[in-house]
Amino acid sequence: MFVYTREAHPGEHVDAHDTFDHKLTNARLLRDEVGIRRPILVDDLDGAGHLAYGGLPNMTWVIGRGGRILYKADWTSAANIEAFVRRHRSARQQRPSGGALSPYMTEQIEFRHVDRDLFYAHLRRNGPRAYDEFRRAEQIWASRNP
Amino acid sequence: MPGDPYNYRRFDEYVEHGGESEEFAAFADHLHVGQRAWGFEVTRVDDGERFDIADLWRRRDVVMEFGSFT
Repeated sequence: MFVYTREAHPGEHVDAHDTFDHKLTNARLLRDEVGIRRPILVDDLDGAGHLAYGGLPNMTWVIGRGGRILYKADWTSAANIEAFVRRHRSARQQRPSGGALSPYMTEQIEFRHVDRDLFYAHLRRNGPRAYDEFRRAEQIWASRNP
Repeated sequence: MPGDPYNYRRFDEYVEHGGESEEFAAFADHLHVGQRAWGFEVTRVDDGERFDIADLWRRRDVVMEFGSFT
């Protein structure tokens, strides 16, 4: 499912939330304009749930039945998540005869494709200052990594 | 940072004050696989129902993506 958080790139057209109703209205944009079909669940105005899981703009967590954390990623890749879920379920279903399943953990570096032009277009949809502020943030990042 | 630190109004100021880099840096050490997931109150957009998100993973595996329109 999708947990709705603060606006990552607020702008004139889609601004930062100042009330919970405002947050709900913006969450409905995700459903109605972007076409998200999964259940959209809205965190409280102060982002208690979002911050409890790290506060990142587009992270994904997979929680196993019973509440154990199975997967965490600081960005979302549908392909990566689907592959993990498929592999995890297959392993649980194929219990070896006469043996046992033993879990182990990994940490991995993965890559995601970034379509810069499409992202800038999305920023402009949020409002001109969303684009301007992101471009200024790029300058700040560049100055930190000369 | 002035105003609501969580619902920042300016992304460039959020970056300039270090919020974004601190959160990304902390993520690797913030809650680990194998640990128990925390529940929190949510409101479902479609019908307005409020419940603890932990109710969802009591019965099945759950993929929980966080994000926003922007």
